Amino acid sequence: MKPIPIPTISAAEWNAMRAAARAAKPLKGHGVRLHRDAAEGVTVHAEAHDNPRHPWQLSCRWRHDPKLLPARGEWVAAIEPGFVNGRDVTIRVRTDEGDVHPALTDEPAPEITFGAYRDPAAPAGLAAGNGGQIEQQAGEGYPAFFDTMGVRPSAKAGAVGAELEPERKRLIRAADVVLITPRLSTRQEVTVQNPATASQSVTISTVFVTDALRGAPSPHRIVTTAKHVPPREPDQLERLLGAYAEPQADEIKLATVYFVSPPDAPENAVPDATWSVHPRYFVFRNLNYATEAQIPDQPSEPITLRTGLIAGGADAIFAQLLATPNDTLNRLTAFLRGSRFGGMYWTPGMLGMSGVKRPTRAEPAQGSAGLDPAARRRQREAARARKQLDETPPLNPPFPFLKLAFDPWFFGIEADPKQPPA
Amino acid sequence: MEWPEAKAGMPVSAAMWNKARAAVRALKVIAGHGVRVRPTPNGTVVSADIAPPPWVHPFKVSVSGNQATIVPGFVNTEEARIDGVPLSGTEKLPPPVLKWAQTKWDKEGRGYIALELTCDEDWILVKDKVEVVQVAYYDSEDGTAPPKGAGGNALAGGVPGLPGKRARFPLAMLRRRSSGRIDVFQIVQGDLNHRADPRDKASEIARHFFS
Repeated sequence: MKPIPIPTISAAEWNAMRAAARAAKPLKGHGVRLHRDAAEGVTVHAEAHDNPRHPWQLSCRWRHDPKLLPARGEWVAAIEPGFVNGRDVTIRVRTDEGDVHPALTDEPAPEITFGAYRDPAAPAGLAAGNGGQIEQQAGEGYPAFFDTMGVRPSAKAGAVGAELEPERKRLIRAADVVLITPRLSTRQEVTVQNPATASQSVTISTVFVTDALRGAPSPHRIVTTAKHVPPREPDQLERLLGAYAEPQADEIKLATVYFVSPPDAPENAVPDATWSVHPRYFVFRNLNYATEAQIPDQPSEPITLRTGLIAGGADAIFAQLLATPNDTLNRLTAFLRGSRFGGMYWTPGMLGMSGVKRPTRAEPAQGSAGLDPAARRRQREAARARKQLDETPPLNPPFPFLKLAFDPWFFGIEADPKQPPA
Repeated sequence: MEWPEAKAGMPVSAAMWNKARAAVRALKVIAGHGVRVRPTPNGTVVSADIAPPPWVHPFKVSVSGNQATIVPGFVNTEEARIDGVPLSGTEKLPPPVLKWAQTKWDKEGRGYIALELTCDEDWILVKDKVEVVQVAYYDSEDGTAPPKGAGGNALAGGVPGLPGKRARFPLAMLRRRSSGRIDVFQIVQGDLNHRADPRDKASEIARHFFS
């Protein structure tokens, strides 16, 4: 083909055509595979998605409702039914007659409402700097995917109100989807006898708290919340002091849903129909659940004192003296462990890969303990627990097949999922 | 192939134009397997709608009427059975089909295709005693209550046992709809391991764990 002579083409016209050609370039999308041939064009192949919908997968939509002001609607999500111990899970749904708790397997599929959001790009708080000036703390942040969408950068620690990359004007909001399993909890009551009327003694007793179990709409339910804060388990010192009760539920975060605004949305805007939704999942399979009430830790090491004095004869005397404290220590340790009802989640039959999902424990922030010895000790314990969790191998989860003396079998919950809590 | 860039006052050469023409030609959308294309003045709409291939995994349940087929699966390396016949069949028998006269439902229209296994006196899984059954309740015999002393499965977790050192674990849930349709929700998607946590050796009460 002979070249065609072109008298004159303006640069603007040429570049506009270049831009149009660039905009027409096919890009790889969901379920599509492209084969580019420089001479012949682009071949598009559709590929069936090899990963069908998984349990807990969300289908979000904007539900228009003129009665809900000022947005005239709300974001809701249908959840692909998932199972815990083979049971289906419920959610709370508002109706004109009141709240109901349908199962995810009900028909029509119930939808859960997002009622509150957080701004993961906003500063986490304010603090005084070394020079006395007020500084903002870094924001929670969001997945790097949203950088490409032009979402406003997450706040950095430092001067208040510093604007980063002003050309990125999309806002972001987030909400968490959490599975809750109400359970028995315990707290210790410490009674100090009056030495004037009785012998000086301290009694530690375990009180079982069943409020959440009795009021639970179902054995397992899903809620949405602006930000999931894992329930904090008391440490052994707090148990001994009777200062803190166990949480009455185990919780595991299933997903975080991010909402992205159109450009130039008002600063305090809340998600509406113009926003886009992007779920991020943390659990992809059905779950099993059990409390750890029957999982003992390693027996505590007895206190020993070996000196070798009097040709070793003193060691026998020390051992005899320490026998009573050691016995008390063992009984106390067994008592504290036997009254711990924290649970764990795991995935059954996950293609041979058993995944353990322990509920995350709330921990004090690094470096926030100050000089308080108790707080610093708790921080060290939390760090050790975190390290232990990190070292949990992905295969062969620790089966809860050993037991303690405490008998948890006399309690149960058979609440009707259809009935709201009393 | 990139469209060549021009600058103000720059003459368009034959080479540039040919590059531009080749660039436009390279953008032509060609329908491949399973794809529909619809040219419009504003572009070419590419549509693809291919159903995903069925995921055949262990214990996959397919229900048709009053019978179900189950893909072979294993518990503690022991193949599950239907009426004593392994799910994969034998040299003389074809893969069995689970049949029942009337579907068993609970009061809310739930039923289960479940594994029912039996443990020996040491709470070890008995070989040849891993059966697939259709039941209305997997954690009790008749749904009235869990076994005495078992306490329900919501508190302690796991699956409460049944009398005779038996336990059931649901493979799939059946939901009966008002239209008469039956929806199947697959629960287990792989082979299983089982361990029992008995309260004591003399008791028949235990928690059963599947992973």
